[in-house]
Amino acid sequence: MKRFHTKETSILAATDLKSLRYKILYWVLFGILVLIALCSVIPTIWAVLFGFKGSQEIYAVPTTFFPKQFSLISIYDAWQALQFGPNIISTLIVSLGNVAFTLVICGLGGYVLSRLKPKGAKTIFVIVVWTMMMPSHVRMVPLFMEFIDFPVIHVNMMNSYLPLWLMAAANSFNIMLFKNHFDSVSMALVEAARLDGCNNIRIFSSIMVPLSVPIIAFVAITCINGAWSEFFWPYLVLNDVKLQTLPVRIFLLKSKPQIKMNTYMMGLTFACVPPAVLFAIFQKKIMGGINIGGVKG
Amino acid sequence: MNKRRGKITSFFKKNAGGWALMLPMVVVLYFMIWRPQVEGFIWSLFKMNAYTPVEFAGLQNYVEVVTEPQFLTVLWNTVQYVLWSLVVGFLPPLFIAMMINEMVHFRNGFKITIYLPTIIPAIVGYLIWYFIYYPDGAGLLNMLLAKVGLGPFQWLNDGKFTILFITISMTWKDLGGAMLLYYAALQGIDPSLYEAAILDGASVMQRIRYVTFPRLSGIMLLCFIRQIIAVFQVMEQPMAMTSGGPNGASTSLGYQLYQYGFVTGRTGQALALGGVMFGILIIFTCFYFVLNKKVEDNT
Repeated sequence: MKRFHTKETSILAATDLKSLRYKILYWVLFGILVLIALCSVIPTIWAVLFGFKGSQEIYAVPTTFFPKQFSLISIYDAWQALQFGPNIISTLIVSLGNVAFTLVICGLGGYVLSRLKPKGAKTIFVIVVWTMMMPSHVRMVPLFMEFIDFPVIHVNMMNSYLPLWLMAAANSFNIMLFKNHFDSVSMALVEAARLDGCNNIRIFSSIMVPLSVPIIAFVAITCINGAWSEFFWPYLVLNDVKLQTLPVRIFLLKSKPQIKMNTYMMGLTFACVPPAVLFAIFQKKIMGGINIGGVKG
Repeated sequence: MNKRRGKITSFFKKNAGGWALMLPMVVVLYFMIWRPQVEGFIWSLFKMNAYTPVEFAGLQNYVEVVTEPQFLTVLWNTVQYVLWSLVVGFLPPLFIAMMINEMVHFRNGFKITIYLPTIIPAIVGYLIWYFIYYPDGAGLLNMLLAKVGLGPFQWLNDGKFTILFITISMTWKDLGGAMLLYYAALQGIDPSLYEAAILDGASVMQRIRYVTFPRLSGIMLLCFIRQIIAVFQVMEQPMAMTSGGPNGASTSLGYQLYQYGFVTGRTGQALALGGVMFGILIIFTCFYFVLNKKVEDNT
């Protein structure tokens, strides 16, 4: 157990915590945090446990927090009833596409804005910054119209993943993230490579990319998370049940009376698993990412 | 002549490579953001037949949107969303970050646990809360109330408080991000500042007032405006939890726009409502940019 005297000085200092008054204050704050932490997790835990309840338990009086018994059968039953297989595959395809489109398009864009700066890049950059915070509802309907009949090429993109990928790539925040990152790469390295005869593409691929692994990983993770979380546009664009991503399917099942509440809760649990696994593996990266774009965002 | 041609080629050489690499980004931004943004305004002035503009109609769509009997109700609902979300959700992330920053024990544990709701898919979070607020005995809140002999309450079905309950679930879902932001800022404060304040005999309140607060006020103001902008556009939450009900009590401007544009087929009104929302929000957006520059210059 760590002791108080190891505390770094912030609002309270180690010397304060020697007195009883501050010790009480400290433990009161500690207690409040425990309560908040409980409130943060109990809703989700309740939903997961609900998924394990038998169907006769849902309306049993009095209702209980814990199910009477845990059996893996309930997972299997829910899986059979929900048929999420195609939707999970579809969400995977969307997440991979999101990653590919975003990394290539935003990565190159951020690189050009930061390093190559051709004539006009400044203007583009100003517009990128401005569009980041633009109220977006005004473009909802026109965007939908584009997807029905895409300008110039006149293709109907409904029921395809292309709209989702393109929208993921049109992310000013990621462009800024890449630009800020490339701004921070030392110029000396680039100059040295240029003297050795590297062209822009070589510089990008053999200096910039290796130095950018952390930011690439961060953007990739947020892209994948986006695919498992985005709901509105996939809901508008993907009408075919087999193509729908998991969040869309989950939303549509809400109004289906033949899906019982316990099965549905298990479905919600299924939808939480992939992001939860991603978070478990990359927790440091995801939570540290706030510092990358946070204050400047 | 030759010299000039050389100039043009060198100009071309210098810029073409950059533009070629930047082109995909510009094209995607053009089609996904800039074009629809401008088109939204242009077509809001047209009579729409489903998703095709028919003829110029001036401000008629706007007039129809604003004179709609429920327009003021929906606008007031949206303001209520913003106000409640500020009341319920603006200060807690700051206080939580400050408390975590004071901890010697379980600091990381608290941080991760309180961040957890942020990682579950948004729609799943809202649907979980939909069931927490379930009006019969199966809902979590009614179950807990039944244990102490109260209820069952109607929760989301009680029109007076629907918006408050929705903002509570929104706060639960989104608090983690702001908390981390404040935490990072708190970590950035040099401990020697506190030590100096303590040597001067500053009380705890004085330390917060004179050391902590001045270093957070910029970020707090940015978060404040960002929250107003974000919540003013609220749409998915009423869609997932209440379908705008009961009796339109939780219909926000965003949800109304979705209804116009994709359910009731009144595309022209959807475009005009988007224009109205833009007009209201652009004031905040401009303010945000001015402020953001100031805060960046100070840090």
